[in-house]
Order: sequence, then structure tokens, then C-alpha cells
Amino acid sequence: MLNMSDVETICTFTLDGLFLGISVGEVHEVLLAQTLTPVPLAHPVVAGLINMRGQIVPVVDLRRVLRLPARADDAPPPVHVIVRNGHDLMSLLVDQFGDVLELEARLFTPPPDTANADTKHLFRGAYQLPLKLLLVFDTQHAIEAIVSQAGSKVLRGVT
Amino acid sequence: MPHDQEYLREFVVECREGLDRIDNVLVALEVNPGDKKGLDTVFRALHTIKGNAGFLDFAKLGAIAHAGESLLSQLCGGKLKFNAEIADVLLRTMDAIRGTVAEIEANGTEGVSDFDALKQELAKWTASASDETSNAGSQPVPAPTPTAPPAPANGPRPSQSDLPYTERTILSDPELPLPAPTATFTKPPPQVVSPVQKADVGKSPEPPAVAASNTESEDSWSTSTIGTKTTEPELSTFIRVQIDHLDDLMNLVGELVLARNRIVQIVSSRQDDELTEPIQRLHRLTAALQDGVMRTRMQPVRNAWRKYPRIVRDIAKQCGKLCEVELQGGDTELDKSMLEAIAEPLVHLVRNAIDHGIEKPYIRKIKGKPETGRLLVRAFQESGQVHIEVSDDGAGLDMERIRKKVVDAGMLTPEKAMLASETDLRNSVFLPGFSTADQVTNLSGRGVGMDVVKTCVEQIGGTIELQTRKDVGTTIRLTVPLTLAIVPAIMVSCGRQRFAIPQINVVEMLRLRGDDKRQACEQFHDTPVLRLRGELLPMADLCIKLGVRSQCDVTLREALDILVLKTGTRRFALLVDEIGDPQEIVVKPLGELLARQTEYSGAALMGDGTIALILDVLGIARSSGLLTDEQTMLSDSVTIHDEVPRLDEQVLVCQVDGERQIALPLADVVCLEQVPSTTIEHSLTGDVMQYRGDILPLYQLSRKPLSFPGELSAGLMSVVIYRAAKHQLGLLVDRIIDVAPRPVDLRPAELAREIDSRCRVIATAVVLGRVTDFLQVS
Repeated sequence: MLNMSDVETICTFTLDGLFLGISVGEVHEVLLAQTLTPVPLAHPVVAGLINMRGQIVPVVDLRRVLRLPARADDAPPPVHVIVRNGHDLMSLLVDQFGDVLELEARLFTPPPDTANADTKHLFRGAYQLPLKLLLVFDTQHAIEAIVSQAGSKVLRGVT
Repeated sequence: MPHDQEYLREFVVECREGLDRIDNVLVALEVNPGDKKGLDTVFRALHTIKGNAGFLDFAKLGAIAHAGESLLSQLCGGKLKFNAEIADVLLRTMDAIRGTVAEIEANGTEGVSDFDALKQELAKWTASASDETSNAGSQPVPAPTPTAPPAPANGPRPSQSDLPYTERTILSDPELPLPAPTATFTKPPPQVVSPVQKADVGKSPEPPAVAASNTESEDSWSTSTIGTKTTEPELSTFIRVQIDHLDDLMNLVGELVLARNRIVQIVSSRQDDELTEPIQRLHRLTAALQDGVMRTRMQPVRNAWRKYPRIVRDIAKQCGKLCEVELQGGDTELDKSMLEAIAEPLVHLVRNAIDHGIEKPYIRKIKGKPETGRLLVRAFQESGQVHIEVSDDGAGLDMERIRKKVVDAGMLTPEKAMLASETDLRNSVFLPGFSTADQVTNLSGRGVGMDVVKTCVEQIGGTIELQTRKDVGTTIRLTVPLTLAIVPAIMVSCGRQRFAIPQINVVEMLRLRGDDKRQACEQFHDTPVLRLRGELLPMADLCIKLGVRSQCDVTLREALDILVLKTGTRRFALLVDEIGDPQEIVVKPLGELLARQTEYSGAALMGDGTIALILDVLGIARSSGLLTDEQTMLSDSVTIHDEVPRLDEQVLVCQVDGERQIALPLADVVCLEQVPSTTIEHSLTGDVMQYRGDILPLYQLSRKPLSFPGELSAGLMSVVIYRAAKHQLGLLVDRIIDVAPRPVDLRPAELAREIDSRCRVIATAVVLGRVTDFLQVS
């Protein structure tokens, strides 16, 4: 567990009213609107591919992963949070990018036992901020879960 | 004592190179024991290893190398004659050194073995030399024979380019030492392979070279160094480079190419004349750079063959067989990663050929073949791909035996096996767990064989073909792309998206309109099929397949773009919205997230920065139900032919005069066109047609007077664009029928006659069930 005196730097973003964060060390970079090439027949969480300076990066729609409603057509273009997946890169698609916050570890709490079993493992816990909770992504676990989910054939072709 | 890692690594690499070279020369010496230069080579290479070992304080290694060197110095001095037993003990010495080097590489120490027995054996031979000399003291010393026929050391050597393409085993590779050993350890100048003389097997061995001048090893040093200097590349022109650096460079250049494409595209839309010149220059330079970087990764196939002479010798010995190997086309170049990928499978094929293919000498004698079996390993480049063949003149595949094994292994029921065609049986060789060896030897017979070879070859986008005839031999041909990185592809569109299909999978492309469309696209019950020259091909619609559209009414579309694709021996048709241009694409992997998307083999960045997915033809076929799993297993990337057809063995069959059938060599056909008859224009030199910015002379193959050109196909004429000498010629025919293999028993027509000054009938034979004239057009 974190030491009481630790301060963690978190990149924050929003997703359908949720306030989410990823530890700053895990974020490779953040990109604004990109041309998305769809991959027909791929798992619904895979939104497509983008060309990041000559590198082809797969894009995962976090709304799909967290089972949130699809983005409205007139919504502002989504933001790509690029994270590392082993040697590869992966983009996590979010609604809007927020501030980078320095947070004291004592504000951190692990997820409650009653959290949704399907998505609980995606989060490391939450920071209790004055106005709302900041859910912190467990990036490595989440990526593993997404990859194994995308690989499963059961949901193939569902859109 | 801690050794500098860098030094150690170089030492290991250098030792290995030396050992490989020694192996080959020793094997060659077995056949041609009189070869003085070969002995010198071995002596020098071993001397270098000994020197380096001493430098790095590897005492055991030094000692065994020294023992070997002593024996060699006797051999070099002519005090002892080279024989098979000596070859054997020396080869075992090399194995001991190789083992120790491996130990050093792994642990940094020499390991425990002292090789005492081996050293004693070496010493015994060395001592026998001294006895021989003392005994021989009274015998007359053979006179020096400066006229010795091959005298390779001093005689003029053919320059590299003059050497015939073929090399026989017995000559060690003439330009073997690729990288120059750095001078780190080497006290003497870096050793060079002395080429053992060429193809001298048949001749009597060289009279023992004598002498005074040669007993001193240092002397022979200088002689051969001078002797070879003229043909060996300057050693200082090589440097060793980490392969990672080349990979990085390759990637950077790939991106540079894409960036250039983007700029070229933007500029071409702006019509800025000032920019045109520098852009062209950028274009040229980038292309040259890309080519150059690609070439740094290319390696001659020979590098993978280096160990073959030794392998062949050892395996043949263990199996009690006689075998000589011939290596052809070692200069053929292949991307390093491809070469590494096929190196092991190739060794396996070589091993199989000797163990299973070539018969024991007495059996060969009964069959009336020479006792020594022949193994031919050959590489060549054809239509952007590298072909590597391993052929033996052995027993060929025994169908009855395979039938029995297939049943025994439970792969087929006896009833099914009885009914199985020869092709199916031969295919079963590639199934996992198949082996015809009656007993498991340490060479082969474990049944982990051809299926692994097949998998390896498939993984790099290659195919494998097998050709066999009982008692005549077996040929296995691997076909692999030159490089994995850049692939020629056909772009197709589907909905608003573009996809790339590797050209290797494309057989032909069709655009069907009007009547053609109605005739060609039909339903077999509820399955769409394509009727193509009498054949029914299953057809899939890419858009429906990819879920871009749920249905598509072919009758509504004005024209249909259809690709005929192949995977292994299976062919199927794929309907797309539009067939675009061919393009060279840089393949990028899709990564873990999309790894199970078998419909795609990767993605490529296009010139405008967009991404195109690369379709995996096998995956598409399989997931569309066009191939059952069983078929896939048998046919997937395995092609079996009785005779592997080559371009020059195929003919294009056409119809002329409304009924006569003629054939033209396919190799000379550039392309086929259908043009409206109004395209034909007339000049004083005859009928011509404008074709790709040129004036193409036309030649009518029909003998009947040409009143209504192409009346048979409603104003459309079929033109065969034909390469005759250096020029292209358009041959007018009524109809193009098909491509067919050239009959094997084609004999020159007795009535070979000229139709006119341009065209003559060279043969007549039955092709596709009809009498056909084989034409030669000049």
C-alpha cells in the first residue's frame, strides 16, 4: 500500500459523467481528434486504428469497456490517451481530457467490495476529492482484461 | 579472470566461422586428399583459434587446438598423407573445439572436458608421421612438380565473376568469409579461405606437393595470402553491425518513404513548378536510400548452406549411404530474417533427403543408379520471390507405404485410404505426426518433420511444393518472398474503406459488365458462384463478409469487380466494390489486441497517411466457409504437382479462324487486352494500335481474310501483347481460351513450316482436347 506521505500525479479525464484518472507515468501521450480507421468484424471495444506518426495504434473505446452508452453523434471529438501495452502502444478513447492533479495518498481508498464485478478489476481504487470521486485506472490490469476480452469470439460481429 | 564481454563475443563468432570453414575444407579433403591449399587453410584457421585461445587464457582450448595443429603441420609438410581416418579425427577435434566454444559462450569458462583421448589420438597420428619420415628417409624424395595441373596457389585464379554459378561441395565456398574478423585477436592477417580447387573430383589427386619450401608453415602463409589477394574483397571493407541498428534504420526509412509520399501528394495537387524539381530529387534519393537499407539486410542464401557439406557427410556416413551434394545459386539473396526462418527447415529437408530419399549403395546398384546419391540444393529468384529446392535422386515417395502409415497412425480409415488419391497421400506427408521411417533413428523418424517445415515456411508467407517420382527422386521446393517488410499488393475498396490484398494471392482480376456479368455470376442453389472458363469457383462478397453491407444485388450494379484468389491449391472469387491500383505496402503487425482477427494479416500506411487493412486470404476463405478445415489442412499452402509448372513450361491457348487452336509460350506473353475493333489504326507499315503511349504493331493470327475484325465478340477484339525479341507486338486472336501446361512429349513438328516471315509453326500437339499449333512469332 502507498505510504502516507506519498504524492501521486494523476492525469484526469471524463467519460460519460465519470471522473477517471491514470497515473501520469503510465500515459505515453495524449492526442486530440485523429482519423479513425475502423476494423470490420473486430470486437466492439476496438474502435479502430490510428496513424500516430507512422505507427499504427489500435484504439479502444473506454465507453464500450465500461459498458457506458455510446457517445452522442454531436459530442465533441473524443481524446486519445496513449498507453503502453508491452512493446506496443494502445489508445484509450475518452470524452475529454482534464487537469493533471497531484494527490496525497491518504485520500486513496481501494474499491468497495460491492462494486460491479464486471468492471471492478479495471480500477485500482479512488481518490476522495471534495466534489466527487476520482476513479483510478489499474492500467496494466485493464489492458490485459481488454486484450483478453477483445480476443474472445463470443461477442464477434455485435455492434 | 573476467574477460571483456565484447572480446569474448568476437572470439566466439570468429571461432565459429573458422570451424565452419575448416569443416568444409576437411570434407573436401576427404575426396581430394592431395589438396595442399586446403590443408593450409585448415592449418591457418586452427592456428588463429589457438592464438586467440592463448590470448584469452583458455588453456584447454589452446591445448586441443595445438594438438590438432601439430598433426596438420605434419600433413602440410607432406610428411603424412591425408586419409579418411585423419579426416575423422580432425573433424572430431573441431567438434570438441566447437563444444568448448559453446561452453565459453554460455558460461565464460571452458567446461570440464580435457579431451585427453582425442589429444592422444592426434598425437599418435602426429607421431606416425615422424616414423613415416624416418622410414622414408631412404626412399627417393619425389621430385618437385611445378607443372602439377591444378596448382591453385600460384596459378591465375578465375576472378569471382568468372566462376560458374555452380559450386560443388568439395569446394569450400570461395567467398565465404563475409565479415572480416576484426583484428582483435589475430596476430597474423585475418585468414582467408583458400578456395579448394573447383570440381576436381574426377581427376586424380594432385601429386603430393613437396617440399622444402613448404615445410615451413610461415612460407605457405605468405604464398596463399598473395595467391588469394586478387579475388578476395578487401577485408577492411567489412564491419560488423548490430542487426538492431539495421532494423531501426529500416523502420526509419519506411517512415521516410511514407512522409515523402505524403509530400509528393500534396505538392502534386498544388501545381507548383518550383517545387517539382526538388520533390523529384527527394523522391529519387528516398527510393535509393530505401533500396540501400534493404540491401544491407539481404544475405546470400549461401550463408545458410555453409554447414551443408559437413552435415551431408555426417548423415550419409551414419546412414551408410554415399552422397554428394551440389549447391547452386548460393548468391541468391534473401532478407536476413527470412533466411534465418528457413535455415532449420532446409537442414531438415536435406536430412530427410539423405535418410529417406537416397537408397543404400547396393540398392542403388540393383536399380542401375550410380552408387553415390546426388543431392541438389538450388536457389533462384523468379518473379519477386526466392525459390529454394532440395532434390535427391533417391527412391521417391512410396505410395503404398504412405497408405499403410496413414492407416496405422489412425489418420484415415483403411477404406478411405484405399480411395485416397495420390495427391492426398502425398499431402499427408505434411500432416503432424506423419513419418514413414520404420524405426526411429536419431536422424529422423519421430514424425516431427514436414509439418514443422510447412509451418515455418507458412509463417513467413511462403509455400512448399513437393514433386516426386518413384525411383527417380523427390524435389521439395520452398517459395518465399524476398522480404517480409515490403509486399506488392492490390488495393480494393469496400464501402468507404480501402483494403490491401497481397499480390501473391491474386490469380486474376475481372471486371464484368452486361452479358458477361449475367453469365459469369450465378447461384448454385443459394451459394453464389463464378463461372470462369468452364470452372465453378465459390464466390464471396467482401462487403457482406466484413459486415459493411448486409446484402448486395449484383444485378443492380453496372460492373462487377472480381478478384480470383488462391490459397494453396484452392481458388475462390471475391467480389469487391472496386479494384484499385497495385501498390507496394509496408506491412505492420496489428498487435495483440487484434491478434485473433484472422481476416487480416496486418495493416499498412498509405501515401496519404490513411491506414489500409491487409486481408488475409486464407482467413477470409476459411471464415466465409469457402474452405473446410479438412481442406485447409491438406491444401493450405501446400501445392503438389507431378511436374511443377514453370512459366516457360506453360502456354497460352487461343482460338483463331473461328475454330483453329494455337498456343503461345506464356513466358513471352506480356498481357492480354480486349479492345474495341475501332482502336485499330492503319499505317503504311501495317495495322497498328495505340497502346500505353506507344504505337504497337499488330499481327493477325487468323488466316482467313479479315473482313470484320473481331466479329465474333461484338466489336471487341482480343489482343495478346507479346514480347518478340526486344519489341512488343499485338497478336490478334478470336478468343483467349486458357493457360495450359506445355505437353511433355512435345516434339518439333515434322512439317515445321513458316506461315510467313514473322510466324511459324514449330510443333503440333493435343492441348485441352484439341489439336493445337505451337507458334513462334518473331
